[in-house]
Amino acid sequence: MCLIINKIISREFRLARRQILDWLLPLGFMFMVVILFPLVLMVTPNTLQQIAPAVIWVAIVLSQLLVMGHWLRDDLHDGSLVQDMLLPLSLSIVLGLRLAVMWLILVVPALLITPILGYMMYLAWSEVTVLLLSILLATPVMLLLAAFAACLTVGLRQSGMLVTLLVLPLQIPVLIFAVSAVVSRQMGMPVAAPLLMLVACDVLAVVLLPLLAAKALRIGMS
Amino acid sequence: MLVGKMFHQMVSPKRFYQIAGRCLPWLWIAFAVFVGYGLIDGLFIAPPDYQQGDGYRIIYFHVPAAMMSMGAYLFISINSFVFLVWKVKLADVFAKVTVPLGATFALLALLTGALWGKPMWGAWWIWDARLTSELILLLLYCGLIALRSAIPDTMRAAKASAILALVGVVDLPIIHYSVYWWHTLHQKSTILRWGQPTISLPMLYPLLAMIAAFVCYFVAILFWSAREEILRREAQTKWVDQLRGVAA
Repeated sequence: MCLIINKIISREFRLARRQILDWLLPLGFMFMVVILFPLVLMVTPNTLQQIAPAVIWVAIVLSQLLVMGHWLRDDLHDGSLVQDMLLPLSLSIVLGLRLAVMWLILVVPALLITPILGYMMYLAWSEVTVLLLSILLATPVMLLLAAFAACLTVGLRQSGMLVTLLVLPLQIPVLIFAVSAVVSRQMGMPVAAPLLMLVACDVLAVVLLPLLAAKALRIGMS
Repeated sequence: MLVGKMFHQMVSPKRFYQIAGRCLPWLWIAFAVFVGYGLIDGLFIAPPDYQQGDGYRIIYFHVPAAMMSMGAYLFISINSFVFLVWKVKLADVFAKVTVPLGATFALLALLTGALWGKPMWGAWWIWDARLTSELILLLLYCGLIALRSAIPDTMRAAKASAILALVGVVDLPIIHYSVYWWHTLHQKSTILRWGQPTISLPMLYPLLAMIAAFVCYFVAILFWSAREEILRREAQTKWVDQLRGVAA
């Protein structure tokens, strides 16, 4: 059992090490989207400061959806998805482990690049701290929702766009909480409430979504 | 044992087709009665509001449409659960035909709300919690339509739509409680609350009648579309051939 878990985790890290562009390109995309706004808008620092949390968060969400749109496509084509389903480990745990590693690989670079982006959008350091915390707390839910949508649409022709369209309405409440945490700090109000709601969303998502994603995957592969 | 047999008979498509066919005229009659009373009383007899004048009367479309959009989604999610757990095909038929119906109700609620908001709030749209979460509900409906049409295999489409509907049902409590959790412009609940309704009684009765009318309309259209969907799915069976008058 532990051997299988070790192998799954080390396989994910090995794949990330070998195909660096898989996670580096979304990072570049996120960076480009954020700097487009100050480049194009040419407004006062005040305005940039006001739109900064939303812009950075939308960039993160879109870059994650870019990755998750074709997350299962290669595994489906070379048969490793079927092999994962045949493991003696429950499929929800296999998916959960893969997603945990993917979360680490996607979130650590995003956390490193966010202070730079925050500085460019004139955010104060306390606000950047809350932004980092919101990224840390909200990205698990976002990733799990996107993975659920990817499992639902596995193998379909327009699965990339479908994942985005299906999952954005589900992610909007989480997005609202994440952005309102930073906006609360900007207005000098306590940030505990939205951040705790994000934790609640995390708990719900981690418990329920891998099971639903596994069921959706089995339906899609039947 | 007998209850199980009765239940299986009830959810057979053929039995439902017959029962629904007999119920439909009564549903339309009930709809006509409720909508006749509701519109006449609501549009002409009920007194004008002290703040909004006669403009508030769009409530008789807006509130029932919004309630039905959420009720329809709840109905879809219950049917999805029944379909996934007990494999009752009739539940999938109900879920499939209710999605466009619920989407229409949500769109109607948003449009009538915009028509109401322009004279009263001064804006066609505002990004407050209730409107935003109702818009999310409309997008969830569109997602359900998109998913079902994107999957060519009907069984896989049915199960996938069922799971998606179940995941989206978390939006319903968010919509209902959005006016309490956030500072919003949209007013709080006046009927679905603990205690007496906060709306005056002469305005309440036509509103309840319109809600009942919308429910009758929903059930009538549900039965009608479900009968059509059953005919489509069971086109190869003997009882459908008998209906069409084709020799067995």
